[in-house]
Amino acid sequence: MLVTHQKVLRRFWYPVIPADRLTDAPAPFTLLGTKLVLFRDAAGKASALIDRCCHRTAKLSQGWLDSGNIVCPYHGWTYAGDGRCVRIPQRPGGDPGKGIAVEAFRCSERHGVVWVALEEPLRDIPDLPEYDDPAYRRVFEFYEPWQAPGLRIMENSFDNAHFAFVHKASFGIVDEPEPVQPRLEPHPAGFVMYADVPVKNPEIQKANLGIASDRTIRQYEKTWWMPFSRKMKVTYPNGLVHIIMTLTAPIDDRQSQVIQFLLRSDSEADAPAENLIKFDRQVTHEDMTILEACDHDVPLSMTVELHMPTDRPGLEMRRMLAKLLAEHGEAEVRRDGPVQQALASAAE
Amino acid sequence: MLNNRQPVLRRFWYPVMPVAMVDQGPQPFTLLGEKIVLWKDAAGRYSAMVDRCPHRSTALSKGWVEGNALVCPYHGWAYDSTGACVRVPQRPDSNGLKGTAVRRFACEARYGHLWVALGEPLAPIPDWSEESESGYRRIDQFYERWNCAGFRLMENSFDSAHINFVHRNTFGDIKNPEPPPRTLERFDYGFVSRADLPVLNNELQKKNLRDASDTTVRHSTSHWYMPYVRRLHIRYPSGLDHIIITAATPISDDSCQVVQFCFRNDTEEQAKAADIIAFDRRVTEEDREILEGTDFDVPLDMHSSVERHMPSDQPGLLMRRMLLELLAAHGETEQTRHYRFAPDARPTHGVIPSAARDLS
Repeated sequence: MLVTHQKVLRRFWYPVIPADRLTDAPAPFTLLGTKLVLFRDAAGKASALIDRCCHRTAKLSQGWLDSGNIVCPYHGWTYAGDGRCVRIPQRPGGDPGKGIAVEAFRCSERHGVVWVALEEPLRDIPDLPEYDDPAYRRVFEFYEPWQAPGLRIMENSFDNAHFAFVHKASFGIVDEPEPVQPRLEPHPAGFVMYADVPVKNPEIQKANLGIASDRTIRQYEKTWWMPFSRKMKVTYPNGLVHIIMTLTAPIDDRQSQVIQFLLRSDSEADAPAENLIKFDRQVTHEDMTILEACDHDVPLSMTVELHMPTDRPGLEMRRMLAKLLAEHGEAEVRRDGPVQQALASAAE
Repeated sequence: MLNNRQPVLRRFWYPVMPVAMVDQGPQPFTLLGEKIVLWKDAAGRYSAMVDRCPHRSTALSKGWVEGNALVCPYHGWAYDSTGACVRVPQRPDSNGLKGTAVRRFACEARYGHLWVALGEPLAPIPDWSEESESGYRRIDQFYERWNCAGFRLMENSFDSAHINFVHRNTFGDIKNPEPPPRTLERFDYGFVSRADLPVLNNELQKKNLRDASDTTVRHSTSHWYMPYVRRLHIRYPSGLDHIIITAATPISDDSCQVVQFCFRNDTEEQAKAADIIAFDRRVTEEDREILEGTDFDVPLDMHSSVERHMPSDQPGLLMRRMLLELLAAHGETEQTRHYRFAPDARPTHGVIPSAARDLS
């Protein structure tokens, strides 16, 4: 599936930037191949406009903010957060007249993240009660592009069989490759998966978890936020809850922008944020190395790749996405074969 | 307009390279998507030919010059300045292969640069008398690739309104955004435009212009030579002439080679060439940053709704109109990837479908 070619994917909310990183300067962001400029309007509301002035196509993200309006760097045409042109400096009094505007997109702020939907969203941004629960502290981890599509990142997150290999240096038990079978249940955001997985407990994790043994059990409750985000709730035998939010936005057919943060039921004194980030950095790098080497054109059809029982969550994602496309009258768009590709690139 | 797909654009002269570079040996250049080799033979003749040996398609620009021939680096086949094959080393008894030739293009050395036309030129290389006039010197300024359409650089050059924004840190005054009026007068394959622009005079310019005031007026006379050459003649109140020639030679649809030199009626003692280049460097970098962010597929059709316009855009709009007339006169239509013209293409997001009205 080539995500920029599936129109219905424009109808979801995507996490584009941590809210505290969008301050007094415009930020460019590419979402599903559409170039956007993000900024805060006069009321402080996060806004997303097409990154292209309607006058001479200059990039608004190269401009600057003036009282919450964005100024094009080429001639100073100025736009409000809703896309309306509010000033054309070359005209008497700067009066822009009526009807001049650039395209504006739905933009919202939830769970400390700015979200954008390119077209009318099919569903709301899922709830995350632990974000506002004082029993949990928040630890920001990563904001970075991955050269991998969201679907690969998602199915990897729900795949119990990869730990023993990809994560053998961190928490996977290399001698026990037979995976725990997951249990799936429906959920309004997508689905939820349960599994109790034995893991290795290295020194850094002993301190991070307050668990002294060489092994422990992760009680997983993972929720897929269709299409490309997930909530991973881990409960450890000592009662500690460690929630990893991995929110991704599709930049284009190949790349994703990843936001990751934690919600933890302990305190900074129990486990310094720095050490939590250090361990998760190792784990995410292990995943990144593999996922960036996979084909970005993930087939929704079950017959293109080979499967095993623990692939079920990923297959369920594919099935649900295929159903979504069908419901909206779309066929899955895939890359042509290698010969057609070569011809097409030669013709360009 | 995607200029590689408009054959009539092959019928203009473009400056492609400083002569001094070609004097070093054969050089490659891409003009309107056509790969060419530029070289000089022992008799001093400059040539532009297809950069491809007819034998095994090797780039001749990787070869060398022997006497009056350009030698292919693969098997040594050699071509003279007319493009004719004059030697095939594998057949020493022959003088090349009869009827085998590399296609050559019109090529002339003017103003220290080689100019090439891929087709029969519609207009001559412009005559700029300052090249031979006493009292004037020529300063070669820039030779570099920009990742934008040549057209964007051309319309930018005639756009008084951008100065106070793009050049606010060099000579523009952002507090006075309303641009002064400008005249426009067509000639065959071009137009001339006049404007008096009040500008700020920064420290470097005070030295370059030998004028200590904080503001000055640029009396400017600008010529547009279709499609991608302009001459900007700035006369300062002191009588100083600063004449900038800028070409945005089209490499491809999305990039151009910027060739810039200037004529000045002062001396090196009065203003160092290095300082003059330094100021124009800052100014061109300001333009470059913005123009490389624009869409290279410039819509010529003003009713395409892809862009909105204002009165100070008149020169750029006239360029669009004249290019459309040129295309029509040669049986061409505008080639573009904007969906309005190519229904099969995917929509360009961000187009405002309702924008039908021009501000002018």
